Amino acid sequence: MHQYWGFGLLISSEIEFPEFLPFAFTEAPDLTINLGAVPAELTAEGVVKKVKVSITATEYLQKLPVATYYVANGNQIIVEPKPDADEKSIRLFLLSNAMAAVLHQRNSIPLHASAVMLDEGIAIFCGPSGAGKSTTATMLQQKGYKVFSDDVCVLKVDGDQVTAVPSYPMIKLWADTFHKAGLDMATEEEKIRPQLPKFARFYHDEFDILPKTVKYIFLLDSNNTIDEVSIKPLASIAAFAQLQRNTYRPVQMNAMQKRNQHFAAITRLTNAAPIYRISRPLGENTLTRVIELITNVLQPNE
Amino acid sequence: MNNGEATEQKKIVWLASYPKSGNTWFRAFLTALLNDGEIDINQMKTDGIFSSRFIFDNSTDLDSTYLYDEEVKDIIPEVFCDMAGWYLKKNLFIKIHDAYAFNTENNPIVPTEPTRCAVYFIRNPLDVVASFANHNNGTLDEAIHIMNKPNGSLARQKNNFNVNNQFRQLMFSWSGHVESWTAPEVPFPVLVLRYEDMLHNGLETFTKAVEFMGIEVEPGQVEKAIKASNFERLKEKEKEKGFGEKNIKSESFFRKGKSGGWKEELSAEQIRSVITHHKTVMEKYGYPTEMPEISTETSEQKG
Repeated sequence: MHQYWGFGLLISSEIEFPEFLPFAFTEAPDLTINLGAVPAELTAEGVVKKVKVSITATEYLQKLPVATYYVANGNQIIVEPKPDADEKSIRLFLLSNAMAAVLHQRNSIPLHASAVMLDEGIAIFCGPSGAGKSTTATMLQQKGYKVFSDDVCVLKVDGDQVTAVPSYPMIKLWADTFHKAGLDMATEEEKIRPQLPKFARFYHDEFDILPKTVKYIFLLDSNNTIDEVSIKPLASIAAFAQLQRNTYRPVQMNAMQKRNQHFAAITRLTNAAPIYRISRPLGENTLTRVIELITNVLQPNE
Repeated sequence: MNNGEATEQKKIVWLASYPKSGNTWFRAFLTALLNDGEIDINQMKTDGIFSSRFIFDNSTDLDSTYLYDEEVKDIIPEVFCDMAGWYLKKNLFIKIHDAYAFNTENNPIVPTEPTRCAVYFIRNPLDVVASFANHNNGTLDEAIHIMNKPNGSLARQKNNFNVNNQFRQLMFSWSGHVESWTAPEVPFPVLVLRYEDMLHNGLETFTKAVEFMGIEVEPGQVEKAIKASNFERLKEKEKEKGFGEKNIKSESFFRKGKSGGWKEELSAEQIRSVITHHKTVMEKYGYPTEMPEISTETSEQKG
């Protein structure tokens, strides 16, 4: 079995994951990933059935074109791949869906956010897919910041402090971002799925798995009724309404009835760090301006 | 024709059309009808668009940006069955620009099970050209090219990118679109409404649609909604507050809202191209297909 660290968990896996951080441990794993046969259906009372997925508080069954995934009790994933499926696709959907189910089953709070490290703590970037979370983290990495996490941060509430742990040391970027961010184009080998123009950038060398305090929160959005990039500090109530939309996999959160604990964590987060909303017009390359506004907040004296 | 009461299973009314054929105007009318004459064009009372990534992700627990377009089209019929299952509303009015097409599993992308009926909006393709070009911020010839090609599509992203808030929509050609939605094989009732009739014979046309969809109305309610959704009013509202559904590349969504503008907008060659490709369907729906007299001034090549 391969041994890894990912999403704050010690993972023992039959499948090799270049995405996770290799991590030798002797204690019992938090999570085991195996290949094998999965149940045909979930039959427990109160099962919530959505499209291609069935969910209870302790079980999750998702039937996708590349594989069927079964997750139980927050400590077990079983994968049954389809005969012609490619390994990258099988891993991608496991990392983005089955893993989220593991976290929800364990009462963790995954937030849809990328993050970079500061001298003390982290700055996180929230927003829906396509909002620019990964691109922002990559651009800041180019400016000397270390990337903390891409796409997902797992929150831990401890009194008034809210800390987070990262997911795994890989950033996913669309092909056009490489040019916009001034990076060398990725290779075919680095595609996250064979027919998808999205690429993996690993950062295992600078990956830090220690929990970090959330110091700044930036909400990223784009719309077509504005002409230029704007930044606006948000008061707590408005911030809560915006932040709670960034729960990772709300379908799971609702089906597993975890709304209350998510909302409690987000309330804490709202009170723990200043929140800024950055809005940009669609369809223009506004990256430089967005990064400038963010660094003005992070380093006010420079 | 009245398609009766909405049943629990069959609550979706598809508002189907090629782009720029009166669909959004009709949604504004419905908004006024369901909202006592009040319209905020950025908060229509209809229930989204078939190609919405938001609706898809909400029903699937997936990040659909990781999917290939054919995977999306294989899964999407189930998404609207799911949506109809959990919405408490009696009616769901959903806009769609996709052709009535089939996925790789040979199922219609538009699911039959939750569908009550469809209203199909058709407009003289010669008038669609300039409006569609404006929508795409492209040239008239580019618009005609998309309308003429058998596999024309909307919101198509280059190189398999899949990040926009709408999925790619396969429309076929203009004629192919009309034929797909009006084919006898379509397993639910479809009412065809001509844009020109909505414009020139509003009360009768809108009343027919309201009856077809099975919406109960008070006397005078249809007239009030027609008045509230008058084209000039919608244009005015867009000017005041903008319109979120406008293509980012386009100046404005609501343009002229007229019929017959093509005589001033298109060159003889452009008119001939549209008529040659779409003659059969145009004639079927009462649009003239003889070449008009074009003065030398207007027959010059137009952008």
